[in-house]
Amino acid sequence: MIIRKIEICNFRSYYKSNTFELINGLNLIIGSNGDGKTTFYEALEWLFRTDGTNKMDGKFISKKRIDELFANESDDVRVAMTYEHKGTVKTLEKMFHFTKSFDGEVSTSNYSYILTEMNGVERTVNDGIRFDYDFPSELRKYTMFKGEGDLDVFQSSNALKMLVETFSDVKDFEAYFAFMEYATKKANQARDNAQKLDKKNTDKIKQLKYTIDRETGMLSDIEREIKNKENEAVNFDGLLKSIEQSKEASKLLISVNRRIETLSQKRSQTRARIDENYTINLLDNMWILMGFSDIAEEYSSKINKIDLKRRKLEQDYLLTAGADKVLKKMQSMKTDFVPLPVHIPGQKIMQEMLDDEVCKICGRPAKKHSEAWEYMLHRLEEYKESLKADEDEEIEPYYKNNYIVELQKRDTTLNDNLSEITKLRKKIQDAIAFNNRLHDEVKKIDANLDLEFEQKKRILAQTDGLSEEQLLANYESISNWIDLKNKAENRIEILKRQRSKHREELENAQEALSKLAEGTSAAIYAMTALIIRQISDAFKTARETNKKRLLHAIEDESNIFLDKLNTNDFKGTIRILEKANGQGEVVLMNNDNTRIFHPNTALRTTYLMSVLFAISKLSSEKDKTEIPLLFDAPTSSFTEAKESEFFNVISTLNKQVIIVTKSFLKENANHEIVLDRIKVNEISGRVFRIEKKKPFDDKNLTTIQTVISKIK
Amino acid sequence: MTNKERMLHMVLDDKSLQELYNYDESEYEDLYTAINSENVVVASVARIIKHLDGSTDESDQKKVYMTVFNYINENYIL
Repeated sequence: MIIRKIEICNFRSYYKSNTFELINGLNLIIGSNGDGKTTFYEALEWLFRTDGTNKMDGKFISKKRIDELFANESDDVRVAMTYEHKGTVKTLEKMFHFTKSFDGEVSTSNYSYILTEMNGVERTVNDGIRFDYDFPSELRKYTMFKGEGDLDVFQSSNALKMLVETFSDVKDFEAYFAFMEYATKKANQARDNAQKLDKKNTDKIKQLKYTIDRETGMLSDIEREIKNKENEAVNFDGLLKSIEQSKEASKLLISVNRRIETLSQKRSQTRARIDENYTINLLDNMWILMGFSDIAEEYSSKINKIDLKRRKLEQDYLLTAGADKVLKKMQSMKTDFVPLPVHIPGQKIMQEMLDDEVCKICGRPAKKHSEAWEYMLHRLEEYKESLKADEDEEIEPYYKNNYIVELQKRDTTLNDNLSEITKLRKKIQDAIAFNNRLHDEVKKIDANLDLEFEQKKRILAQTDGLSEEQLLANYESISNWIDLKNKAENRIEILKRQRSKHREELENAQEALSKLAEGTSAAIYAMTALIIRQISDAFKTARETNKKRLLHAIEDESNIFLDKLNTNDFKGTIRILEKANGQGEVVLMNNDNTRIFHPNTALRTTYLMSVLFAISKLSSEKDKTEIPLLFDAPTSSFTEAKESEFFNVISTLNKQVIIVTKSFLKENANHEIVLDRIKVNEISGRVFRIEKKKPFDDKNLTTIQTVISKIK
Repeated sequence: MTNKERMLHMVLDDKSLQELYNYDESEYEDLYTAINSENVVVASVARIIKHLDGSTDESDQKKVYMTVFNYINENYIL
């Protein structure tokens, strides 16, 4: 079957009529995102659907066309394909009518699906479902592929079975296999019934039948368990394979998480050490006094002046008061100078000076009993006297309150602490510097944390949609799954050994039963049952041979295609395996027969496409009819150079291939997407460009229209 | 070669069957020759393939079984 022309009319972005004239070779349809590539594919899918579903879906109708229609106006959605099949030109057409009502609603009607055949001047019209004869739906599974994810035909569990039924040398083995099972059962029953008449050997027959029933039952249980365990093993294998790639990522993630935790803890601890309660420290730690030394000096100077004045006034007052005691007292106080208040220096200081025999104010020695020492002693005694309550005091004190004295005492205290105050500046500077160092440390930790979070993002971005929880859970699960898989496989081995043993027992019992029948009327029934059993085994073997032949044929052809598609690259060897549960699997092997588990996407695409080309070739050899292959964006993972090479190889395969792709588009200086004409000219085949007609509003579907240009 | 003939060849190609029932697979090109063979097993295989015709219908299975069963019963010499 060669497709000559495809017409798409009012189907989604294909406004009104659009035509693709195709060749028997490579046909490229190039478009960017949203230009109509997938719509092209979906139009054909709709056209080929022969099961009667999705006939008149409103979502197929071009929004632009609907928008243009007046009330009560109609048009058609139509997709048609003209093709050549076994020398006859045919056109398959599917369409329906749509009408816009007054309130803007769209209704559909007049669905039709026809296949028109041109035989010279004669034209025959049939129901479109007859297209299945030319292009059976089982075949279509192996010809139309949407994206790289769709290329693995063995993904579905039934695929291998369908492949064998469709493409193997011998069809319908399954029906014969089912028949042989039925026939074996019936023949055994007939034998058993015949042997019931053998009275001589009744007991032996009974025992053998019991053995046969028992062994048959056990074999059935064992087969069932083997199948379950095989499915289990396949499932765990699948699970392990699915996380094979993420195993590394899981490990990395765990170590990144650990580092993040450590760094976060360190950050918290460092942050906790930062104390920037400067406001509180102003009062609590007397930081407010930092600039106080100047003030303290000034205070000291001022308070001493005031105190001096106070003492002078007090002195004058007391003198003026004229009391003998006071006079005497004053006289005793009278000196050439205004004496210091009695409490200065303090009692302790004075005692210290006396003990050390030195005046610590002027620094001169005051040996015991010297004039200076006596003076100091007298001062101390005066101070002690002053502490005693004066019972004879008659004269009112000059100052009722001692505010100035208090202030003076404070000055003393301040001066004692002045050295502490001068140290405050350094203390504060050190505290601020310490906090700044801690801030810097936190910044460094933050920078490291950012790196770790970036690393984590990268890990998660490359794990095929697995979340962090899944990755971590997977890591935990790995050893569990390995263990369970091994257990299942070990159990399978044990069961297989048991199966062999029970098969032997069954065979022996069958043989013994048949032998018993010898010389009796049941002999022929026993022989018939035996022959049917043996024929059944032969059918079983033939079925396996049939399957293997097909798989080897596909493998051989696939490797030839792979060789062509990957001429200058690493290839590997394609093998098609049958898994325990009957599902097929396409794998790539190294030269040393080890499996390549994670080929890069481009290699995966080429080896899967090689299998598809091989199947297509086998199909055409069997039925003497070519079937086209249609791929939607299969090469998105290829480099540009690889793409050109790939397409050129496909153009030499003598096969009709239609590829819808984003390849060969580039951005020009005006940031517009344009075709790379130079690269396109290097391709052998037909090339179309599809793109949205400009101008268009990317938020308004009614402005979207795909236009087709034939490039070469 | 038809599908049935290919199936016939594949089943008769079974080495155990050949040894047990002593026939040469290459002598049976087509179903007609096989059905008319003197070798009961060869003829039975051919009958199964021809009469079942790929059917999975129970009544067809029953018919074919009776045909083959009776054929073997009547023609196999112990």
